Amino acid sequence: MLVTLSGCVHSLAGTGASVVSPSRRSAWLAGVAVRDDLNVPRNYQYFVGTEAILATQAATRNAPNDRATGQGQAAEHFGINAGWQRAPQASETVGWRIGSRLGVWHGALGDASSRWAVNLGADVAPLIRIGTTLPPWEADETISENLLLIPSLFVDPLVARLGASEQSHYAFSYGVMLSIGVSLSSTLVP
Amino acid sequence: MKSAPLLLTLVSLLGVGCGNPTLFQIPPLGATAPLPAGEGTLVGTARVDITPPPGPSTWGHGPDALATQGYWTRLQCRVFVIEANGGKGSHGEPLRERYAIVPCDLPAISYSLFREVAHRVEGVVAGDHILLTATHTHAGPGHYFESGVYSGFLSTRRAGFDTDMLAMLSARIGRGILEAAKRTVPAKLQWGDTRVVGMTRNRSPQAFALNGAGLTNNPASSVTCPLAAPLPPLSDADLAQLRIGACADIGAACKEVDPRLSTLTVREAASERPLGSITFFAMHPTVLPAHTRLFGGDVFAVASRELERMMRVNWANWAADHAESPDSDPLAAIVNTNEGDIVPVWSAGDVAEAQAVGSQLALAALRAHIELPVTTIASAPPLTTIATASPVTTIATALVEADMARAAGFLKVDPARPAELGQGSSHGGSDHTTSIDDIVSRLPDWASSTGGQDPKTPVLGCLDHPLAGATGFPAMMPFSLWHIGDHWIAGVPAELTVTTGFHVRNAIVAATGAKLDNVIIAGLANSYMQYVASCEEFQLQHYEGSSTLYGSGTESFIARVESNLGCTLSGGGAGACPAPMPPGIQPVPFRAFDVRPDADRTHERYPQPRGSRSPEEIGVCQLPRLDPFADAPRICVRWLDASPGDIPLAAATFSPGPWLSIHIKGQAAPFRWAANDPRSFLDDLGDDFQVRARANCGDRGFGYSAIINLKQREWDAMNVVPVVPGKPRFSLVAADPSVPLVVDFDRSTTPRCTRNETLYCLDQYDPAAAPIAAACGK
Repeated sequence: MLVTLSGCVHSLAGTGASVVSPSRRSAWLAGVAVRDDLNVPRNYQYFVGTEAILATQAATRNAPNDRATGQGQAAEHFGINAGWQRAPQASETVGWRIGSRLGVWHGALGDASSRWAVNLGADVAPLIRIGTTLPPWEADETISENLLLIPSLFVDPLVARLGASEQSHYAFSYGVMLSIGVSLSSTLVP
Repeated sequence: MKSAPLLLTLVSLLGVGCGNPTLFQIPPLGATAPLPAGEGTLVGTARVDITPPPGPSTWGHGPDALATQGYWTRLQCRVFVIEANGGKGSHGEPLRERYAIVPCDLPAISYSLFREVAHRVEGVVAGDHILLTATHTHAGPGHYFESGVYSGFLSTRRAGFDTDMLAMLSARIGRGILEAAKRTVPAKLQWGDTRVVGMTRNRSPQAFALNGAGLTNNPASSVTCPLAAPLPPLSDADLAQLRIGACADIGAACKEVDPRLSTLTVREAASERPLGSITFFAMHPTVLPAHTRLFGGDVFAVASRELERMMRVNWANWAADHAESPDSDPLAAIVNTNEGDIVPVWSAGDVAEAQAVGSQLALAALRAHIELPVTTIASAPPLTTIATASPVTTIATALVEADMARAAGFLKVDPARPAELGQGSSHGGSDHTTSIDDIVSRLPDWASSTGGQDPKTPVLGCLDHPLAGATGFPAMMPFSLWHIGDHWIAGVPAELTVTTGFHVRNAIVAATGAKLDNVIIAGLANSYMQYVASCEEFQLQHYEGSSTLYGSGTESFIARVESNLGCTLSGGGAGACPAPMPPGIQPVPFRAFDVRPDADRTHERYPQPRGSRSPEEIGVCQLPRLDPFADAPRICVRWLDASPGDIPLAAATFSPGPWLSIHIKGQAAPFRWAANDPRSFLDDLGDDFQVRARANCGDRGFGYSAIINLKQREWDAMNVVPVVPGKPRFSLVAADPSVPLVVDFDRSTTPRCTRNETLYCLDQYDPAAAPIAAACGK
């Protein structure tokens, strides 16, 4: 309970991502995500958090000829995030997040085969507060919550065994995530 | 290799914000050259307005301190720059030097504020010749303390350090010192002393009772308190005064106080014109409630204004041809002394009571003012109770800085965590308990060791230091001793209890041979480390003891430092020089100092400009009167104006004049209610107005409201203006660079406030359900 009040942003998102390999094989993923970021006490400008994505391979392109395209196959991602974040207070409209991402993908990434991949990347997002801006004297409640709209962009180099016909074990993913989040904070919790 | 640019980008992103957390560095201060030889004493004064615009939090009540929306009294610093002979050079030659004494309506002085001010006046006044003190109003702003415990979480409801707040305060105070230094005139300084009983009481009588009780044999503690003399009892004459007034029913607590009140009166030598006074008195001056959203100076602000009025009137009565002089603006500054456990006697805790206590204090303080031999002020006591009237011919001072963290051995505390805030501090003082008072244990913990601070239980246990941060507890403490005429003033960056103050004063007496009653503690000076209880009081771990950051040895540390300074100033001959300075003492001039607060939870608290706009009236109405036996109206005015970052309080660089003032309708000059007082204006520089920013009205600006709560004597003076049926006689004028706002009012023509308007004006509504028409108009 105390932790969740310590400057957290909890968000639920819709996400779309693309995975591209050097051979131009690509997959389009669409899915939902849950993300929880905890601001680190004292200066509250750094965060650590977790992210989980459940996606479906919506389309593929340039899949190897010996492979099924894997359209409709599931892919999951679990990762941890860390970086700089300033969630907007009730007296502000926009905050920012610049973070790094480390995690694993499991599932179909461009074909029908299920495989593991490790990603290490970065994301950037404005944190847009939904609601009217309050003056400071109306924004100093003991516990406060702010509803946020968070459109984020992320890029992730991937390391994976993509298949026997691939020259490279590397791929590149990028995507967007549109989240509805809630920022919780309390003046009584560090 | 193809990934190299991407990896570089990633590394750079990961590195965001990981640099040196130092926000800025205050440079070292060099020596300020002595002045050319001269005779006599010169004094210059300046009044500095340091009221922040609405938005920042008040400070002093921990998380009960709320974000402000306006002000009741404006916050001021009263600057006295004195040029005098007195000090001695390195070869013993006499020096003529410049000194600055600057009491401010602030909760406390942060070390970074002291250093910033000293930096800004370098070359004019030396940093070690500055006594910057706080009255300790709890309705003053926070956000300028570099220490995590004073700017970090739990320090206010909207915690955080703000460089803009520090810059505003230091720039205006520094400018005030420079202005005062330009205005010096030959002056006479005189001390007056009196005693004031019946207005204050001890708020920690159980801890006080331990003094002199011989705790040295307590088998449960390893602590050994040196047996020190307890505070002497009040005299029979003092006790006789206690039998009347508010203290008659309180008993012993009213006797456990420091009744001494000393005033340094400053007059222009040639004309006898009062330049001002500095009054020293022990009173934790908090009558206003913790949840106030208005800046204000509390009791001392009222007392200062009342003393200034009485000085002006007395001067006008003495020299009628000077009554209209624009120079007749004497300053009545108040310096808090050993007030740690001394509070005013109060019951309601509201603005009206703060005004009553402040007025009472002013009348008492007037007895120590060396006034001209006429006093025609109604209800002012005769000037016959002055104990002394000693002229001042020489001034000298000495200052050292202590790094408390390096004094752990002397203090007998854990060097790894020399400072600790005890659990009892979370209760608040017994006169203003906090909202978590009932959920925190009151018992000291004798069982567990807390690094030499037994029986203190850290307020957050093992999390105390990790959460407070690397710069969590204040460590740099300037200590000074001033010798002004026959009085000695010890500048101490803390709130000493009355007994601790007594012990420190005794140490100074031993070193200097001074008369005990002439040794004064100037508390809350140049930095702040909270309370210092006596060694015995510390054992009970009540509020003051548990707020003694550096343990029970702090009292001895301060006594040692101050007695050494006394020995230095008196040439070592007046009394027995004590043991050498304790460890941790730093030489002056000052080193560079990194301001590295790690407490900024979001960003600036000081409102930023958003573009000015012209004011526009929303409405005016009469509120119900507070006093049914008085007929002075209480008026509420609502208007639209620029954002808090653009109003005069924020935009001015030195000392903004009145924003709101009352005029007779159609007259350009503001109304004066007393013929013999050239500055008896009814404006927001006094204590009649409560000004609030209310709501962000978008493109229309901000909604503001002001309650005009006139005193009966002021209304009686206004009411002599002939009545014109159906037409208002008075106007509230809001000064604005472009178009001033004029709102007319009168008792007979201004409508009574509706229910919604009344609730709105008195701030008694849920902001989420605010009547928007009242806040922003149609």
